[in-house]
Amino acid sequence: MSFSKHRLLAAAVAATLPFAAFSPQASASSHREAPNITRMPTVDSTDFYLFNSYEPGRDGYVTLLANYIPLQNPYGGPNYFAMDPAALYEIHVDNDGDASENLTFQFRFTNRLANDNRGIKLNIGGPAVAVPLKNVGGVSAADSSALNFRESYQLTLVRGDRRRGTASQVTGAGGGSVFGKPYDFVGTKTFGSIAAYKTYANSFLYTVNVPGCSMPGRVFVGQRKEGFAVNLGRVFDLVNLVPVEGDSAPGAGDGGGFPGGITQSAANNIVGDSNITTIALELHKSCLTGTGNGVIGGWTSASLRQARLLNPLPTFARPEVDGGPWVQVSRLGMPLVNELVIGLPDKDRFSASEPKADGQFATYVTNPTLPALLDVLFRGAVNQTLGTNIANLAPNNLPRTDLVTAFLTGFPGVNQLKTVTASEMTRLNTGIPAAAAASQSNFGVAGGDLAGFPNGRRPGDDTVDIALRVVMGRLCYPLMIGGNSVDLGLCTAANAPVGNVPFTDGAPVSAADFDTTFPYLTTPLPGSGGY
Amino acid sequence: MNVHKTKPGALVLLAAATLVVAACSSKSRDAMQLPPPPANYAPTLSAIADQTSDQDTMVGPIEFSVADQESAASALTVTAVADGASVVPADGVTLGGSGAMRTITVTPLEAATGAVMVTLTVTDPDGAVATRAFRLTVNARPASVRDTTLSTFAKGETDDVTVVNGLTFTQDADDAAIFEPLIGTGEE
Repeated sequence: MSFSKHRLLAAAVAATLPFAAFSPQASASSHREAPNITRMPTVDSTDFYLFNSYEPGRDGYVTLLANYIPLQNPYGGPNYFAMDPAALYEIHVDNDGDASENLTFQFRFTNRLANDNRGIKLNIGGPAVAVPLKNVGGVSAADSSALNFRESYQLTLVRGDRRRGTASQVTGAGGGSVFGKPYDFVGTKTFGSIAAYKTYANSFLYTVNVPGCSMPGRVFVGQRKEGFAVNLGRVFDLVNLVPVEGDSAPGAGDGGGFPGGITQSAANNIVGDSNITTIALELHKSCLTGTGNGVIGGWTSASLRQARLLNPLPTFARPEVDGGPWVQVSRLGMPLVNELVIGLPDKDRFSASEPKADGQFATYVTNPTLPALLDVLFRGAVNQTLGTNIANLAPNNLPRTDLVTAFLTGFPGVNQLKTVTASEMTRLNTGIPAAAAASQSNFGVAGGDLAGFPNGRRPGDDTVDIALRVVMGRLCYPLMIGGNSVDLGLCTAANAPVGNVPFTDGAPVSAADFDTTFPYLTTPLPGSGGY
Repeated sequence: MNVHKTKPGALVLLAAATLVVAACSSKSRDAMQLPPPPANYAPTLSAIADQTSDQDTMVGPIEFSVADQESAASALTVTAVADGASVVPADGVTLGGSGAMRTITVTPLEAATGAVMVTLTVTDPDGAVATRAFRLTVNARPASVRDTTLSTFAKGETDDVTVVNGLTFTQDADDAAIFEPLIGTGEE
């Protein structure tokens, strides 16, 4: 298929998605999505974004964002949300399509208390007594002496196999290899104001030199406001809403859509009052594409040492002893896959697996259960409301090659790598120019915006609505791309009786909700003081 | 025997011979008579030897053959069941293959040990059946918590992981002193 045809295809996909989104989707993209990872929130990856940078002046750069530690209540003091110093956080890039990483960026954190890990102490009637808090006064970019707790990290690039490849240290502009992480936004009294916290956090944005890359990159790790939008609670309560657009168009407010359908409202985004922690990296595409065709696949993972011995007499520095090989415990590429596609018995295995072994999970994609569950939940109501007699809402084109294309291989000519290996990762064509924030469609390709999901993923892409519509068969209908009707040939309208329904969870998100500069995700919500 | 010298004698002999022949014929008919051919012969399946495996280990696929006089092998239906759900669940027995060559794979429950009888039944299109059974014994693989843990701690970050599935760990690690060298004093 020619690129232009695929552009049409992509556009069609985008157009499709806008209608459809059966949105029961929801869970946050990957927040607490598997039983085992709920026990280890500091290494729980929640979202992964991969897109061509759209900050003005950053043409040719690619941004990679990996979010961790889900559902942070901003007021979660006194310890807030530090990264795990015993963990290995990684961002992987496959640039030739064999589903194995060619590049891995490894982040390892170190936590220290002031006063050589003894902490800040106060003289209380003679003895010096350690304080119980992580800060004892105001903190700013210019003066952080009141901080009792500091996080730092080092960044290593591994070329080849992530465990046996060639490792090299990423350094800052001054040659140092240790980077600081800002203290979480405990509140406006500590930091002065939201603007002051933003200034403080920005002081931890580093220009870095990556071995083997001729162009410098940028890195930032710190707390951000949750960017994922989803009607989380109601979705998991057996989709306790009518997940079809209730207005004639999203946000129209006219009630002219599906009778009783949910309408778009920020209030539906139940996770919008929480924070996450972002690992952000921006690199020139020439550092990422290797010998491939310009399309890269990316995903993030977190690993722990296999052996852990709890210390019965713990100290700050040694609450446990860790040893042995790294064991992966969290993984995220495409949004919602482990959340809504992989069966409960295999979710933990998926978390521990690598894309090159995804064949073991293929049946979950080719024969998905989510459409069947939605059919059980809504077929009667749909038929009653519309006066129809639809026998089954779920698409019947099994195996679902449309889903394989969307989630496991990418679309030829759009975001398919040089070699096609079915595997779960986010695929980005670095050759498709970024769309400025103001011109982005939150339905990505389906909205006629080829620079968006599923060609990579940007913070403003409404992946929940998109993914649900695709799952319910939107790709079985022709897509309107550039005024042209494009039939992807993956299935037909007869296969998907509700494939053109505008499913939605009513939780809107768009590029306007984010910054237009790296790292794009916005200043976190303060623990106190309002936003 | 001379039956041609005298007619009366010949007649006698002929009568006797006739009787003998008649008797022999009757006796022969009784001895050689086959039962009426059956409406349908039962299918057959080959035997499978008793099996032994370690815990958490899939057994198979094991090949076996099926046949039938009246029907093509592809028309034969094979089912299988294990008699101990605590060792092999109902969905732990899977059949494969086609035609005359079929396979069976048995997947015991995680961490389960013990013995079960697995019975295979082949049925032809007319409903005739045949069965075979084999015994599967799933043995525990004991491992020491202490030794496994210490050997894992001794590995490097990029070494191969220690495989945990397939082992039953003995409770030999309740002596905290075993790990004192790793914990140290807790001060740093």
